[in-house]
Amino acid sequence: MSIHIITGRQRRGISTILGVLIFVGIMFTAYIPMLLVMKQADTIYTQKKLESERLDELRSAESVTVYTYPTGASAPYNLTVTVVNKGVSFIDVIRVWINDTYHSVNIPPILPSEEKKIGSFNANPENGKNYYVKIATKNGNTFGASDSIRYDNGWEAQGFFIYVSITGKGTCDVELWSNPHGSTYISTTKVYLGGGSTVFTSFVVPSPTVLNKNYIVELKKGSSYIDQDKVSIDWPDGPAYIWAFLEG
Amino acid sequence: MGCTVFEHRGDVRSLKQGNSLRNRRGISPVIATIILSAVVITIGGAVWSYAQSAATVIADDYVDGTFSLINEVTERFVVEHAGYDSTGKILSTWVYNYGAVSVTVDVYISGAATGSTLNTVVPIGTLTLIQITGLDIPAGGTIAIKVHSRCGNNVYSHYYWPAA
Repeated sequence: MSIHIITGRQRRGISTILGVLIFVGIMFTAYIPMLLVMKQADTIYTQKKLESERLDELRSAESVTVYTYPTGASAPYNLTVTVVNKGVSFIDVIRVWINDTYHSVNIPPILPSEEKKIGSFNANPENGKNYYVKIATKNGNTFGASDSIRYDNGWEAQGFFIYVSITGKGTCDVELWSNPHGSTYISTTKVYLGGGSTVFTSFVVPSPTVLNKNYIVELKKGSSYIDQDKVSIDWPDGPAYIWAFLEG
Repeated sequence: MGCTVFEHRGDVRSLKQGNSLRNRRGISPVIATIILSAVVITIGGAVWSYAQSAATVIADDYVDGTFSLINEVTERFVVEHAGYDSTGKILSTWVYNYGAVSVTVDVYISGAATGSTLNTVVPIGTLTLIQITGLDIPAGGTIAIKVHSRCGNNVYSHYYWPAA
Protein backbone atom coordinates (compact mmCIF):
# COMPACT_ATOMS: atom_id res chain seq x y z
CA MET A 1 0.00 0.00 0.00
CA SER A 2 2.87 2.27 0.72
CA ILE A 3 3.88 2.00 -2.96
CA HIS A 4 0.55 3.46 -3.99
CA ILE A 5 0.88 6.30 -1.55
CA ILE A 6 4.41 7.16 -2.66
CA THR A 7 3.52 6.89 -6.35
CA GLY A 8 0.46 9.08 -5.89
CA ARG A 9 2.47 11.68 -4.03
CA GLN A 10 5.02 11.69 -6.85
CA ARG A 11 2.31 12.19 -9.47
CA ARG A 12 0.78 14.99 -7.46
CA GLY A 13 4.17 16.63 -7.30
CA ILE A 14 4.62 16.49 -11.07
CA SER A 15 1.19 17.91 -11.76
CA THR A 16 1.75 20.64 -9.19
CA ILE A 17 5.05 21.56 -10.80
CA LEU A 18 3.46 21.54 -14.25
CA GLY A 19 0.54 23.56 -12.98
CA VAL A 20 2.90 26.14 -11.47
CA LEU A 21 4.92 26.24 -14.68
CA ILE A 22 1.76 26.82 -16.73
CA PHE A 23 0.53 29.47 -14.31
CA VAL A 24 3.88 31.25 -14.39
CA GLY A 25 3.94 30.87 -18.17
CA ILE A 26 0.52 32.44 -18.49
CA MET A 27 1.56 35.24 -16.15
CA PHE A 28 4.72 36.05 -18.12
CA THR A 29 3.49 35.50 -21.66
CA ALA A 30 -0.09 36.76 -21.49
CA TYR A 31 -1.08 38.74 -18.40
CA ILE A 32 2.05 40.80 -17.77
CA PRO A 33 2.54 41.74 -21.48
CA MET A 34 -1.14 42.72 -21.57
CA LEU A 35 -0.68 44.97 -18.54
CA LEU A 36 2.48 46.47 -20.05
CA VAL A 37 0.74 47.22 -23.35
CA MET A 38 -2.18 48.82 -21.49
CA LYS A 39 0.21 50.87 -19.36
CA GLN A 40 2.08 52.00 -22.46
CA ALA A 41 -1.20 53.06 -24.10
CA ASP A 42 -2.10 55.01 -20.96
CA THR A 43 1.31 56.70 -20.99
CA ILE A 44 0.89 57.73 -24.63
CA TYR A 45 -2.59 59.06 -23.85
CA THR A 46 -1.29 61.13 -20.94
CA GLN A 47 1.56 62.45 -23.06
CA LYS A 48 -0.70 63.46 -25.96
CA LYS A 49 -3.21 65.06 -23.60
CA LEU A 50 -0.44 67.08 -21.99
CA GLU A 51 0.84 68.21 -25.40
CA SER A 52 -2.68 69.29 -26.36
CA GLU A 53 -3.12 71.21 -23.12
CA ARG A 54 0.20 72.99 -23.74
CA LEU A 55 -0.95 73.87 -27.25
CA ASP A 56 -4.21 75.26 -25.80
CA GLU A 57 -2.27 77.34 -23.28
CA LEU A 58 0.00 78.72 -26.00
CA ARG A 59 -3.02 79.46 -28.14
CA SER A 60 -4.89 81.30 -25.41
CA ALA A 61 -1.76 83.32 -24.56
CA GLU A 62 -1.45 84.71 -28.07
CA SER A 63 -2.27 88.39 -28.35
CA VAL A 64 -1.65 90.40 -31.48
CA THR A 65 -2.51 93.86 -32.72
CA VAL A 66 -2.87 94.16 -36.48
CA TYR A 67 -2.33 97.39 -38.38
CA THR A 68 -3.06 97.82 -42.03
CA TYR A 69 -2.60 100.75 -44.36
CA PRO A 70 -2.11 101.45 -48.08
CA THR A 71 1.30 100.43 -49.37
CA GLY A 72 1.67 103.65 -51.37
CA ALA A 73 2.09 104.89 -54.89
CA SER A 74 4.43 102.03 -55.83
CA ALA A 75 1.60 99.53 -55.33
CA PRO A 76 -1.67 101.45 -55.27
CA TYR A 77 -3.89 98.39 -54.88
CA ASN A 78 -1.85 96.86 -52.09
CA LEU A 79 -2.33 96.95 -48.35
CA THR A 80 0.59 96.70 -45.98
CA VAL A 81 0.02 94.58 -42.90
CA THR A 82 1.99 95.07 -39.72
CA VAL A 83 1.56 93.11 -36.50
CA VAL A 84 2.65 93.71 -32.92
CA ASN A 85 3.02 90.66 -30.72
CA LYS A 86 1.52 91.68 -27.38
CA GLY A 87 1.62 88.17 -25.92
CA VAL A 88 4.23 86.38 -23.86
CA SER A 89 5.28 83.79 -26.42
CA PHE A 90 6.28 83.96 -30.06
CA ILE A 91 3.66 83.70 -32.78
CA ASP A 92 3.76 82.14 -36.22
CA VAL A 93 1.71 84.05 -38.77
CA ILE A 94 0.76 81.71 -41.61
CA ARG A 95 -1.96 83.58 -43.52
CA VAL A 96 -3.24 87.07 -44.19
CA TRP A 97 -6.89 87.42 -45.10
CA ILE A 98 -8.23 90.37 -47.07
CA ASN A 99 -12.00 89.90 -47.19
CA ASP A 100 -12.54 86.37 -48.59
CA THR A 101 -9.10 85.95 -50.10
CA TYR A 102 -6.11 84.68 -48.23
CA HIS A 103 -2.40 85.01 -48.84
CA SER A 104 -0.06 82.41 -47.37
CA VAL A 105 2.97 83.90 -45.67
CA ASN A 106 6.21 82.31 -44.60
CA ILE A 107 8.01 84.50 -42.12
CA PRO A 108 10.08 83.75 -39.02
CA PRO A 109 8.21 83.67 -35.68
CA ILE A 110 7.47 87.07 -34.16
CA LEU A 111 8.94 87.48 -30.69
CA PRO A 112 7.03 88.99 -27.75
CA SER A 113 6.76 92.80 -27.98
CA GLU A 114 8.19 92.71 -31.50
CA GLU A 115 6.58 94.74 -34.27
CA LYS A 116 6.95 93.24 -37.72
CA LYS A 117 5.78 94.17 -41.19
CA ILE A 118 4.21 91.00 -42.60
CA GLY A 119 4.22 92.29 -46.14
CA SER A 120 2.29 94.10 -48.83
CA PHE A 121 -0.69 92.27 -50.32
CA ASN A 122 -2.75 92.98 -53.39
CA ALA A 123 -6.39 93.47 -52.41
CA ASN A 124 -7.73 93.79 -55.98
CA PRO A 125 -9.93 96.62 -54.73
CA GLU A 126 -13.29 97.62 -56.19
CA ASN A 127 -14.77 101.07 -55.78
CA GLY A 128 -17.14 101.51 -52.88
CA LYS A 129 -16.09 98.36 -51.07
CA ASN A 130 -14.70 97.95 -47.56
CA TYR A 131 -11.69 95.72 -46.95
CA TYR A 132 -11.22 93.83 -43.72
CA VAL A 133 -7.81 92.44 -42.93
CA LYS A 134 -6.99 89.69 -40.48
CA ILE A 135 -4.12 87.33 -39.84
CA ALA A 136 -4.18 83.65 -38.91
CA THR A 137 -1.60 82.02 -36.68
CA LYS A 138 -0.27 78.47 -36.74
CA ASN A 139 -2.01 77.78 -33.43
CA GLY A 140 -5.43 78.46 -34.92
CA ASN A 141 -6.05 82.03 -33.78
CA THR A 142 -7.21 84.86 -35.99
CA PHE A 143 -6.67 88.53 -35.23
CA GLY A 144 -8.32 91.28 -37.22
CA ALA A 145 -7.42 94.89 -37.77
CA SER A 146 -9.68 97.02 -35.61
CA ASP A 147 -11.18 98.85 -38.56
CA SER A 148 -11.77 98.27 -42.25
CA ILE A 149 -10.32 100.32 -45.10
CA ARG A 150 -12.57 101.59 -47.85
CA TYR A 151 -11.58 101.88 -51.49
CA ASP A 152 -13.17 104.57 -53.62
CA ASN A 153 -10.75 105.64 -56.35
CA GLY A 154 -8.14 105.35 -53.62
CA TRP A 155 -7.88 104.04 -50.10
CA GLU A 156 -9.87 105.77 -47.40
CA ALA A 157 -9.64 105.30 -43.68
CA GLN A 158 -12.87 104.94 -41.74
CA GLY A 159 -11.55 107.34 -39.12
CA PHE A 160 -8.40 108.18 -37.20
CA PHE A 161 -7.96 106.97 -33.65
CA ILE A 162 -5.47 106.84 -30.86
CA TYR A 163 -6.09 103.82 -28.64
CA VAL A 164 -4.58 104.07 -25.17
CA SER A 165 -3.70 101.21 -22.83
CA ILE A 166 -3.23 102.35 -19.20
CA THR A 167 -1.83 100.13 -16.44
CA GLY A 168 -1.76 101.28 -12.83
CA LYS A 169 -3.82 102.12 -9.75
CA GLY A 170 -6.31 104.73 -8.70
CA THR A 171 -8.05 107.42 -10.71
CA CYS A 172 -6.13 109.14 -13.48
CA ASP A 173 -6.65 111.62 -16.27
CA VAL A 174 -5.47 110.80 -19.77
CA GLU A 175 -4.72 113.94 -21.73
CA LEU A 176 -4.16 114.24 -25.44
CA TRP A 177 -1.95 117.04 -26.73
CA SER A 178 -0.64 117.80 -30.11
CA ASN A 179 3.13 117.50 -30.31
CA PRO A 180 5.24 119.46 -29.48
CA HIS A 181 3.88 119.37 -25.98
CA GLY A 182 1.74 122.26 -25.00
CA SER A 183 1.04 123.56 -28.46
CA THR A 184 -2.60 122.47 -28.48
CA TYR A 185 -4.64 120.77 -25.83
CA ILE A 186 -7.13 118.43 -27.44
CA SER A 187 -8.97 116.24 -24.95
CA THR A 188 -9.01 114.63 -21.50
CA THR A 189 -10.50 111.35 -20.37
CA LYS A 190 -10.81 110.21 -16.77
CA VAL A 191 -10.05 106.55 -16.09
CA TYR A 192 -10.46 104.50 -12.93
CA LEU A 193 -7.85 101.77 -12.58
CA GLY A 194 -9.00 100.33 -9.26
CA GLY A 195 -6.43 98.47 -7.19
CA GLY A 196 -4.22 97.71 -10.17
CA SER A 197 -5.43 96.86 -13.62
CA THR A 198 -5.23 97.71 -17.29
CA VAL A 199 -7.94 99.75 -18.93
CA PHE A 200 -8.35 101.04 -22.45
CA THR A 201 -9.62 104.30 -23.82
CA SER A 202 -9.46 105.99 -27.18
CA PHE A 203 -9.41 109.40 -28.83
CA VAL A 204 -10.80 110.32 -32.21
CA VAL A 205 -8.42 112.64 -34.00
CA PRO A 206 -8.79 114.63 -37.22
CA SER A 207 -7.46 113.55 -40.57
CA PRO A 208 -3.68 113.91 -40.31
CA THR A 209 -1.72 116.48 -42.26
CA VAL A 210 2.02 117.02 -42.48
CA LEU A 211 1.83 119.58 -39.66
CA ASN A 212 -0.85 117.84 -37.67
CA LYS A 213 -0.02 114.19 -37.16
CA ASN A 214 2.08 114.02 -33.99
CA TYR A 215 0.52 113.66 -30.57
CA ILE A 216 1.48 113.23 -26.94
CA VAL A 217 -0.69 111.10 -24.70
CA GLU A 218 -0.09 111.86 -21.03
CA LEU A 219 -1.18 110.21 -17.83
CA LYS A 220 -1.93 112.64 -15.01
CA LYS A 221 -2.60 111.80 -11.37
CA GLY A 222 -3.83 114.83 -9.45
CA SER A 223 -1.74 117.73 -10.75
CA SER A 224 1.39 115.73 -11.60
CA TYR A 225 2.18 113.99 -14.85
CA ILE A 226 3.07 110.32 -14.38
CA ASP A 227 3.84 109.04 -17.85
CA GLN A 228 3.63 110.00 -21.50
CA ASP A 229 3.83 108.36 -24.90
CA LYS A 230 4.54 110.10 -28.18
CA VAL A 231 2.67 108.78 -31.20
CA SER A 232 2.08 109.85 -34.76
CA ILE A 233 -0.53 108.94 -37.34
CA ASP A 234 1.24 108.61 -40.66
CA TRP A 235 -1.74 107.83 -42.86
CA PRO A 236 -1.59 106.96 -45.75
CA ASP A 237 1.97 105.80 -45.09
CA GLY A 238 0.96 104.19 -41.82
CA PRO A 239 -2.10 102.92 -40.01
CA ALA A 240 -5.14 105.10 -39.40
CA TYR A 241 -5.05 104.22 -35.71
CA ILE A 242 -2.21 103.84 -33.30
CA TRP A 243 -1.72 102.49 -29.79
CA ALA A 244 -0.21 104.42 -26.89
CA PHE A 245 0.86 102.65 -23.69
CA LEU A 246 0.93 104.38 -20.31
CA GLU A 247 1.85 103.18 -16.82
CA GLY A 248 0.94 104.94 -13.61
CA MET B 1 8.08 -4.70 -0.96
CA GLY B 2 5.84 -6.52 1.62
CA CYS B 3 2.76 -6.79 -0.48
CA THR B 4 0.22 -9.29 0.94
CA VAL B 5 -0.72 -10.75 -2.48
CA PHE B 6 2.57 -12.65 -2.69
CA GLU B 7 1.93 -14.52 0.64
CA HIS B 8 -0.59 -16.89 -1.14
CA ARG B 9 1.79 -19.77 -1.73
CA GLY B 10 -0.70 -22.60 -2.54
CA ASP B 11 -2.25 -20.98 -5.53
CA VAL B 12 -0.13 -20.87 -8.68
CA ARG B 13 -2.72 -18.94 -10.54
CA SER B 14 -2.62 -16.42 -7.83
CA LEU B 15 1.15 -16.26 -8.06
CA LYS B 16 1.01 -15.87 -11.82
CA GLN B 17 -1.60 -13.32 -11.40
CA GLY B 18 0.53 -11.76 -8.70
CA ASN B 19 3.52 -11.63 -11.02
CA SER B 20 1.39 -10.10 -13.71
CA LEU B 21 0.06 -7.57 -11.27
CA ARG B 22 3.56 -6.89 -10.09
CA ASN B 23 4.60 -6.22 -13.66
CA ARG B 24 1.62 -4.02 -14.24
CA ARG B 25 2.29 -2.28 -10.96
CA GLY B 26 5.77 -1.41 -12.18
CA ILE B 27 4.46 0.09 -15.40
CA SER B 28 1.26 1.71 -14.20
CA PRO B 29 2.87 4.51 -12.14
CA VAL B 30 4.92 5.56 -15.15
CA ILE B 31 1.92 5.36 -17.46
CA ALA B 32 -0.23 7.14 -14.96
CA THR B 33 2.38 9.83 -14.57
CA ILE B 34 2.67 10.18 -18.33
CA ILE B 35 -1.09 10.28 -18.74
CA LEU B 36 -1.48 12.75 -15.89
CA SER B 37 1.29 14.90 -17.24
CA ALA B 38 -0.18 14.72 -20.71
CA VAL B 39 -3.58 15.72 -19.36
CA VAL B 40 -2.07 18.55 -17.34
CA ILE B 41 0.00 19.73 -20.31
CA THR B 42 -2.96 19.49 -22.68
CA ILE B 43 -5.39 21.31 -20.41
CA GLY B 44 -2.70 23.72 -19.25
CA GLY B 45 -1.67 24.39 -22.84
CA ALA B 46 -5.27 25.02 -23.80
CA VAL B 47 -5.73 27.37 -20.85
CA TRP B 48 -2.41 29.03 -21.68
CA SER B 49 -3.39 29.44 -25.31
CA TYR B 50 -6.82 30.77 -24.36
CA ALA B 51 -5.33 33.15 -21.80
CA GLN B 52 -2.81 34.42 -24.30
CA SER B 53 -5.34 35.02 -27.06
CA ALA B 54 -7.80 36.56 -24.59
CA ALA B 55 -5.07 38.82 -23.23
CA THR B 56 -4.11 39.84 -26.78
CA VAL B 57 -7.72 40.63 -27.66
CA ILE B 58 -8.25 42.57 -24.43
CA ALA B 59 -4.97 44.48 -24.90
CA ASP B 60 -5.80 45.27 -28.55
CA ASP B 61 -9.28 46.49 -27.62
CA TYR B 62 -7.86 48.63 -24.85
CA VAL B 63 -5.19 50.10 -27.11
CA ASP B 64 -7.74 50.79 -29.86
CA GLY B 65 -10.03 52.47 -27.33
CA THR B 66 -7.20 54.51 -25.89
CA PHE B 67 -5.99 55.64 -29.31
CA SER B 68 -9.52 56.58 -30.26
CA LEU B 69 -9.65 58.64 -27.07
CA ILE B 70 -6.28 60.17 -27.96
CA ASN B 71 -7.69 61.24 -31.33
CA GLU B 72 -10.67 62.75 -29.53
CA VAL B 73 -8.62 64.78 -27.07
CA THR B 74 -5.88 65.84 -29.49
CA GLU B 75 -7.87 66.91 -32.53
CA ARG B 76 -8.00 70.68 -32.89
CA PHE B 77 -9.74 72.61 -35.63
CA VAL B 78 -11.32 75.98 -36.10
CA VAL B 79 -13.49 77.85 -38.57
CA GLU B 80 -10.88 80.31 -39.75
CA HIS B 81 -13.07 82.21 -42.16
CA ALA B 82 -16.52 82.19 -43.72
CA GLY B 83 -17.76 84.03 -46.77
CA TYR B 84 -21.00 84.15 -48.72
CA ASP B 85 -21.48 84.44 -52.45
CA SER B 86 -25.02 85.75 -52.92
CA THR B 87 -24.94 85.19 -56.70
CA GLY B 88 -24.22 81.47 -56.47
CA LYS B 89 -25.92 81.14 -53.06
CA ILE B 90 -22.80 79.46 -51.74
CA LEU B 91 -21.46 79.71 -48.23
CA SER B 92 -17.74 78.99 -48.06
CA THR B 93 -16.20 77.98 -44.77
CA TRP B 94 -12.50 77.48 -44.33
CA VAL B 95 -11.69 74.96 -41.62
CA TYR B 96 -8.13 74.89 -40.32
CA ASN B 97 -6.80 71.78 -38.61
CA TYR B 98 -4.06 72.85 -36.18
CA GLY B 99 -4.06 69.63 -34.18
CA ALA B 100 -1.98 66.48 -34.33
CA VAL B 101 -4.48 64.22 -36.09
CA SER B 102 -6.44 64.36 -39.30
CA VAL B 103 -10.14 65.13 -38.77
CA THR B 104 -13.30 64.24 -40.62
CA VAL B 105 -15.97 66.88 -40.20
CA ASP B 106 -19.61 67.59 -40.94
CA VAL B 107 -20.65 71.23 -41.31
CA TYR B 108 -24.17 72.29 -40.32
CA ILE B 109 -25.74 75.69 -40.92
CA SER B 110 -28.72 77.06 -39.03
CA GLY B 111 -30.33 80.41 -38.41
CA ALA B 112 -31.24 82.60 -41.36
CA ALA B 113 -30.63 79.61 -43.64
CA THR B 114 -30.09 75.90 -43.15
CA GLY B 115 -27.87 73.36 -44.87
CA SER B 116 -25.05 70.92 -44.36
CA THR B 117 -22.05 69.26 -45.92
CA LEU B 118 -20.95 65.91 -44.58
CA ASN B 119 -17.80 63.87 -44.39
CA THR B 120 -15.00 66.26 -45.32
CA VAL B 121 -11.47 65.26 -44.38
CA VAL B 122 -9.24 68.04 -43.09
CA PRO B 123 -5.62 66.81 -42.99
CA ILE B 124 -3.17 67.94 -40.31
CA GLY B 125 -2.01 71.54 -40.65
CA THR B 126 -4.14 72.35 -43.66
CA LEU B 127 -6.84 74.87 -44.44
CA THR B 128 -9.75 73.19 -46.20
CA LEU B 129 -12.54 74.94 -48.04
CA ILE B 130 -15.97 73.46 -47.36
CA GLN B 131 -18.85 74.86 -49.39
CA ILE B 132 -22.55 74.64 -48.78
CA THR B 133 -24.68 75.40 -51.78
CA GLY B 134 -28.27 76.52 -52.18
CA LEU B 135 -28.24 78.86 -49.19
CA ASP B 136 -30.42 81.93 -49.46
CA ILE B 137 -29.23 84.22 -46.70
CA PRO B 138 -31.26 87.44 -46.48
CA ALA B 139 -29.46 90.76 -46.14
CA GLY B 140 -28.71 91.37 -42.48
CA GLY B 141 -29.11 87.68 -41.69
CA THR B 142 -26.89 85.81 -39.28
CA ILE B 143 -26.19 82.11 -39.51
CA ALA B 144 -24.69 79.75 -36.99
CA ILE B 145 -22.01 77.39 -38.24
CA LYS B 146 -21.43 74.14 -36.41
CA VAL B 147 -18.50 71.94 -37.39
CA HIS B 148 -18.83 68.46 -35.93
CA SER B 149 -15.96 66.00 -36.04
CA ARG B 150 -16.47 62.25 -36.25
CA CYS B 151 -14.63 61.92 -32.94
CA GLY B 152 -17.41 63.94 -31.32
CA ASN B 153 -15.86 67.40 -30.99
CA ASN B 154 -17.77 70.51 -32.04
CA VAL B 155 -16.61 73.96 -33.10
CA TYR B 156 -19.07 76.81 -33.44
CA SER B 157 -18.87 80.02 -35.37
CA HIS B 158 -21.27 82.53 -36.83
CA TYR B 159 -21.46 84.59 -39.97
CA TYR B 160 -23.20 87.88 -40.54
CA TRP B 161 -24.20 88.72 -44.09
CA PRO B 162 -24.44 92.52 -44.14
CA ALA B 163 -25.97 93.07 -47.55
CA ALA B 164 -26.65 91.42 -50.85
